[in-house]
Amino acid sequence: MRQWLKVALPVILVIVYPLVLPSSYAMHLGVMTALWVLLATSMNLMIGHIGLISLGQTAFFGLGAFGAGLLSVKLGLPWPLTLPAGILVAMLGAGLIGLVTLRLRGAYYVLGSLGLAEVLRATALNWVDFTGGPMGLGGISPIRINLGPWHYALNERGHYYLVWAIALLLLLVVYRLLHSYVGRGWLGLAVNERLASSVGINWQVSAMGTLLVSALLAGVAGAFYAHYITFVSPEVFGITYTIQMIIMVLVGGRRTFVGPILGALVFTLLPELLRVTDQFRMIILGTLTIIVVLFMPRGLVPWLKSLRKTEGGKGAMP
Amino acid sequence: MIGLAQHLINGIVIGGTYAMMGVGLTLVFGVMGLVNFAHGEAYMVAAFLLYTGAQLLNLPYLAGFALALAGSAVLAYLWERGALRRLYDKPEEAGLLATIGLSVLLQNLALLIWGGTPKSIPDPIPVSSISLGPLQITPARLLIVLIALAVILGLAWWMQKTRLGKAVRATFQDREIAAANGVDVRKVYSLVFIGGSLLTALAGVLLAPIFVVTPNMGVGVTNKSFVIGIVGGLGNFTGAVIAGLVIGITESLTAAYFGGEVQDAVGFLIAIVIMLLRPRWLSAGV
Repeated sequence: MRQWLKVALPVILVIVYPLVLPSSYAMHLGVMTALWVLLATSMNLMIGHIGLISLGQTAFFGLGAFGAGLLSVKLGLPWPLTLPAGILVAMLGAGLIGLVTLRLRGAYYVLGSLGLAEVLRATALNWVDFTGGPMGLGGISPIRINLGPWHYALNERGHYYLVWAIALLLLLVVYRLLHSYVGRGWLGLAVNERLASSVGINWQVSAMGTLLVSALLAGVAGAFYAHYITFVSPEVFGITYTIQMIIMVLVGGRRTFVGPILGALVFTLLPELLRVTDQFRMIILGTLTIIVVLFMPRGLVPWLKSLRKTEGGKGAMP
Repeated sequence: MIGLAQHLINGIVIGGTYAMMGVGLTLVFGVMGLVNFAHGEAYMVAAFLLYTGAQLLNLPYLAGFALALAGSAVLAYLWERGALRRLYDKPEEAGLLATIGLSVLLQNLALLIWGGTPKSIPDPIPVSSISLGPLQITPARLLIVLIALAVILGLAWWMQKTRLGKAVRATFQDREIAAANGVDVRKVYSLVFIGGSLLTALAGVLLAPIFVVTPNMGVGVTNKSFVIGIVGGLGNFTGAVIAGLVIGITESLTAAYFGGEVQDAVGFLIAIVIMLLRPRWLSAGV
């Protein structure tokens, strides 16, 4: 009964939201929230599950965005083709990046990962003929439905439903993956690498697997983003996105499934409710990061759970 | 040929400050095990404090200079005492994440307080160049090189010859044994962190009149310092100095012949290649 509720509740919330807040702006927020949920979950796979602080995580978001965008602009491909293609680009990039960075450990991994994202950013900034340079890539075709008798461009609400359908589906897949035999092996590595390795769980393979799945999520977000905004700037490779992802994961609770989702919701919706300007939002984010690291190192979700005081000591998964 | 030598000289000027920044970061990592993501913000805050003193409060340059350094030291002390200290016993990523938060906080506070338009600070010394043969250098830049040189040599001497300096080196080599021998590790940590921040702050103050001052100028400094640290070996003092100079000169040359935007990325590429090729050399410092 509970299990069924866990799946139904998010779906119900997603469906109800546009009915409660139908404005175009609320829909836009809804779309961005979905994207951030995907990005935060992607970051959580790295930070929380395999234990690698991927400071270059936004590279996969950017690759997805530019991949889909470039195919749309240069080759005129429609979105049903560019979305999967963008995802493939992101995952391919992750594979290549992983081959390089997964050899490094600790602080070196962090810096290597950041470095490669910066290289991508510099490439996007300077290859003006290809990517549009600092002015970005514009003119990406918006999402249209061209099926038989139906021909129309998606409006805000359409985008909202589409992105959430994709997001919920992916989240379900990731959830099942994490609770599967393979996924628990990965968790074992994060908790105690030596012990896990001793029972045959291969770190290199698991790390690459985690990286690819996280790149899938980020790539989906990126590809959708490209078609939604119809414009991609080289700044998608910038560290600002990564930092926001990290904060969402930290505050929500890394190594929990719901944590990053909660973090994404809080940080996308709360500033709007409080009507704070962008600067204050970042100041709050920064301060909150520090406070969470200092006082609530496991994040909000575990803290909230500890308040419930149920039969003690459940596992790390919700 | 003269152009080349001129670029070399400019590179040495920048390289000297890079060496200071790099040493600041690498020492903090080597002694405290902290990857300080807010490193560049020490540079930025110092530059803004100088700007406040020199331009907003109309203090004489030296007073602004002192204000910047004192302010940076106080802030570093408060941060170390209030936040970092609680994280020493936690896994190393806690420090990294906390400093990421601090970096975001400081950048946006600076944006809020001083605004985003680039600020400039007038040169404190009259700008007419001195000529060394066919080469030109401004007195300001000459002073920067001399100060950087003095500070680095002074620091090296201090670490070798004084009791406190030796305590720092001992903590670097083995924290527990040093503590067992009576070294107050907490004080050493404090000292190293404040010292590292001051080195960077000094670089910021020296370079501020040359470049414009913006709230996010620290990010480039952090990136650069990481590259310098990695190339020189994280934790390796001499390595950081040499790497700083080399990177300064390389940048000056590539900027002259290739143009500006790619510097950070090229630096990272070099760092990554080095990380892949020479794991043994690097782990000596870890």
